[in-house]
Amino acid sequence: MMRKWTSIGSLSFVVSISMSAVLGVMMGIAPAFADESIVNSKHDLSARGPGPIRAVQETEVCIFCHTPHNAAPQTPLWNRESPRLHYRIYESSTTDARIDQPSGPSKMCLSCHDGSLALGNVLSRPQSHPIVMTARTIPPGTSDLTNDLSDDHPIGFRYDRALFNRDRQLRAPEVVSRELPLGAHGEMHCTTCHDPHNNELGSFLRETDQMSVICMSCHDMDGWEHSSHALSRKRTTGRTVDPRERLKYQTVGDNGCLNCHKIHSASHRERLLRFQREENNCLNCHSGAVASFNVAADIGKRSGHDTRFRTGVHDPTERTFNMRRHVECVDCHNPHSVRHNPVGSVGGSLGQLVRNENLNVSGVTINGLAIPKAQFGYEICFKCHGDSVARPRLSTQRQVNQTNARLEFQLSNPSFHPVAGPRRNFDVVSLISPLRVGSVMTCTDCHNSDNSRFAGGSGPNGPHGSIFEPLLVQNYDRDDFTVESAQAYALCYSCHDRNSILNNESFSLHQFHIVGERATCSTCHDPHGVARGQGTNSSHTSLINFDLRIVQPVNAPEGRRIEYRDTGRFSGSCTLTCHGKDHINLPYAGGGAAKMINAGRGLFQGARR
Amino acid sequence: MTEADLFVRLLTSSAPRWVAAKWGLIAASVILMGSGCVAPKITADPVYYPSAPAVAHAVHIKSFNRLDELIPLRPTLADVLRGQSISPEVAKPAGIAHVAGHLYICDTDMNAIHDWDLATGAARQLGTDGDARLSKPVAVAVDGDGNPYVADTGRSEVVAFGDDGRVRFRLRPPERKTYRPTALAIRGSVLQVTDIASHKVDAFATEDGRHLGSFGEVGSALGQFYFPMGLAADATGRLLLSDMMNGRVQVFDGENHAVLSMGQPGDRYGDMGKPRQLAVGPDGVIFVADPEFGRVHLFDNQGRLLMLLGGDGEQIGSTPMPVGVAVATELPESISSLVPADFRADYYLFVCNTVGVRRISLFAIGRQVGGEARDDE
Amino acid sequence: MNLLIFLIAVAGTVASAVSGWAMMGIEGSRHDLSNMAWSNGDTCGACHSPHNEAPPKAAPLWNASADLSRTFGTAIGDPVAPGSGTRTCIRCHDGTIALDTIAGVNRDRFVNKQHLGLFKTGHGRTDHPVGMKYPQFDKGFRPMNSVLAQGEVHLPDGRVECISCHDPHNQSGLPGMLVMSNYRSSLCLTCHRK
Repeated sequence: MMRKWTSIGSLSFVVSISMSAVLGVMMGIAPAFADESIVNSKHDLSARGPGPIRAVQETEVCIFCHTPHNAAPQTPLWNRESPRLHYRIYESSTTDARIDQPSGPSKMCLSCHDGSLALGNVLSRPQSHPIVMTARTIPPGTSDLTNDLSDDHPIGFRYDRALFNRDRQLRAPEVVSRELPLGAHGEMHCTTCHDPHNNELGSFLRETDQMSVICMSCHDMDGWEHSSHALSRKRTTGRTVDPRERLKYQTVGDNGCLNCHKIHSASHRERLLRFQREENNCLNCHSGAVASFNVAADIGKRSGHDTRFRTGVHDPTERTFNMRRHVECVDCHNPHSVRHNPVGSVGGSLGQLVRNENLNVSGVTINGLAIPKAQFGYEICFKCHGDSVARPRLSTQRQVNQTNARLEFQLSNPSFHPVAGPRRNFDVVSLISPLRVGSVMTCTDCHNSDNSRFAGGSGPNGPHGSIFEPLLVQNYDRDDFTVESAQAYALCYSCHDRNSILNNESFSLHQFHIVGERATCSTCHDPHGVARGQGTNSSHTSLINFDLRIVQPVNAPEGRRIEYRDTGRFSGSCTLTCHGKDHINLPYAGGGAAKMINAGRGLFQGARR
Repeated sequence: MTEADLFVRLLTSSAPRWVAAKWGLIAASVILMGSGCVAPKITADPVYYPSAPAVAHAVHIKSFNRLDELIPLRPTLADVLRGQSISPEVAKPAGIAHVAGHLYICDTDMNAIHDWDLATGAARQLGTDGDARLSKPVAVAVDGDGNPYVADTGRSEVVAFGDDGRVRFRLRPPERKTYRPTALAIRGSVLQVTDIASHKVDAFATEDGRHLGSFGEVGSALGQFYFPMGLAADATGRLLLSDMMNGRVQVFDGENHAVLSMGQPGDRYGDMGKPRQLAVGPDGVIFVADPEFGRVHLFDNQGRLLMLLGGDGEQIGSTPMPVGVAVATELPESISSLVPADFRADYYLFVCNTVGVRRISLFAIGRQVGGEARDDE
Repeated sequence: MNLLIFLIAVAGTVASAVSGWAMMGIEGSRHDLSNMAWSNGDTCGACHSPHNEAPPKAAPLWNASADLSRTFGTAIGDPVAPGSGTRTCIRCHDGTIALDTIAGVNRDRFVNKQHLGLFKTGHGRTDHPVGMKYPQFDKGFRPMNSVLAQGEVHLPDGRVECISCHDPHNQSGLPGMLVMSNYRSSLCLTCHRK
């Protein structure tokens, strides 16, 4: 049954509602519910505050930090003591800033956030009667910075012109201070990135960290704006190393810097990496879960660049010549600059120039000069496989031993695979088209993952790891008495035509040695090259550098010798002993192609005349 | 010829034009370099009270916060090497006294008494260390032996220092539950102290601090007072008391009977607002600081208004919140030479303000000579 | 039934307000300096000097040409002059008589200075600056019109004074004699945009 609203009833309804409204306004709740206000944010420590840390009875909000009368001499009307701790400050080999103890506004933040001072101790209350809080000091967690600031973004340095001149991967200080306030002398403080009153963007940031906008206000990493890490729309859920490491946003591009870096309480202090082991910062996504290809699987293979070998050894400022042996992802990749390759680019020789995944990585030139940005792929390899004292040891004892790959590939060497430059040797007749004389190749044409797309598989390109030793993209049997097959020397046959070789087009005795004697390519040929100082144009052409496990010096009349002599095109002589047979100046000449070429030459010369 | 040749010729030639040029250059250099050493004088017209066309009886000399703004201080080598400012500075003066060439200033911000020797420039602070630490010193008086007495409202007691700076004794009337001493005066061998908790004036012996008695009660009749904020003794042994809430100054004789009252609450000439500390000049003129008027009242020893001194605002000679006054009969040459030539200074007056850009003001009291005689004096 | 609801609403309103009632006004508050022996119960004279209608009969002896119609200080009936909203307070609140406010570096900032006076140096403590013009073009503060429209915080002559936040007549009965409640720091947030 419907009640009739009497006039008194409606009047009383209206009056009571309006009185409640008046009461509410009188209580002064009205102005401050906006998101950008400190009221009802995490810094609202009053009894009506939203978080678990709050006062038990005190209803004022500002009082925890400010008081209008009898405040500390520090601006602005500060109501707290200053912590007297000595802080362990951020240290890094790559920082150009002169970092000092925190001061001024930073100490004001640290008066709660270092966990040393009680939260309720304010100057406007007597020491014996602080504000009673639900937690006495800030509880352990990411906002408890403790007095160890070495795992946090550095503060307490001057961001001035001098710093900008030292480090060009920073923006100019005038650009920075337009949006992020620096101290009177350009000092970086907590308050540069954080506004303690305004939590609109989360974490009280002044600018959003989505797509790392706030990081980009100061940091101008080479190549970042085009890099795949900045642009990728891949979802970051389903990570493998530690799914509990919560990332704020859903995609790699949105997380930006936060994919690998943790600004506060980072596990790997230097450079503030998210994970303690350097490679885990990469493998967290590059293990098939987030990124397209599974690099972690390759690294774990029998032969590879195993980044797990050492932790904490790599340093970006290392002089590769004289360093402790190690390998990390960042030795070959610059995570700020990596780019996607064009869609569909997979096969063929990978070319000589540095690929998109290796942009802005340091290298060593063919001449031995250390450079900050390698132009060619092999320059990156030469860092460790060239002059460095940490380079790998010999795997095969040869007639001429050389572990320095840079020396092996010199363009003035008697013979070399054309990595650093083309070789004008018309006599390499076995090259499979489109390879021809004058082509260049690169290290990763041979040293690559067996499962790479380059090899026809589904894995990542690159010398991460392979089932074929030593990190070979295809199989290459190097033991004596290997039965010849397309598979046995698949690596060589990928560029050198098997038929051409077995038909003796270059060496008239190839078929005899390879098939008949079951000698492997490696018995006579050195895969890299023979250094100029160690070989001559008569003795080590055609990559001849005998494997001393199989080939030994022979007792020649003039003494024990092991020697190859190049006597002209497709002709030479050997002095050695192998498979029990003594070769003393044993010559060879001819070869199927020789006749053809000689004939052609005559034609050519005839035409000229 | 080249510049090098010209220079050589300038130095060595004995030809007249070159000699003249050389000495001219030397003179110019000396003048230029020397002028840099001379500090520019701030030239502003001195401020007279009353202002023209009346004959002035007071002139503003200067206002200062630091001792080196008052007298020139010579830095020692140690000070220069230390790189510190050698001059002591007053932060918030609440009371002031001048005895025997020393200026004593109560500083309620630093909670100490500054003791500046105006002749030598020596400076020290009383009440900064340990047991002698002052809490809120609001008034100071010094007896004939140079012992300072400080009214400390924070500690609710009067602290008697020796002239060497150690504490001799602490004074507090017995059986008084709350005690807030605000003003002191030495009358012979007796220290008189006002108390705004019980609105009385207490007497203590200066040699040992015995409490000798007290007088006074709340009220607005003659002899009664409410919030006594200032005390001074004149040459004839009378005690002058600043009765703040009654807007007047009362004069008590040797038996503590009120014999005279001057001023009443109001906003005109002859009225007073909230009179605070007061001082008596050697000619009997009574100076009363009044922060409500922003000025110092001057009365003669019969209670007639002579004039007002000071003013609001920030202009030269202003006294925005005067709370303390002190009379100095003599000042060192370095200060007395600053009195304008057309003014005969008989004695001097220090006024301290709790706010303002320069918080202690110095005036000369006397007479402007060379003007027409237009008043009674 | 409806009358009952009405009465309950009224009673609730009254009950919530009455808790502060007993402390409102000067009487009984800390500003009650009336003393029967002194002023016969008059509480106003402690802060406000009476205005003398009649000019004095005689001029000051040393200043015969003084203008005798001139008035000084803040008497009852005077319009609030710039700065008097602070000077009246610190006459007593300089630590000698009452609580020491305007201590430290801001003590000289009341005299018509433009800038806010937030300085780093100084012995002892500092206080909220007064005497400066309300910073109405600063993004960190709400517009002056909205502050004035709210009607509680006063800005005499567009300046921040003691009486901007404190009501010496204690009409609200709030602790600290505030002009409005500082529940959830709403007094602070009236001006400060935080």
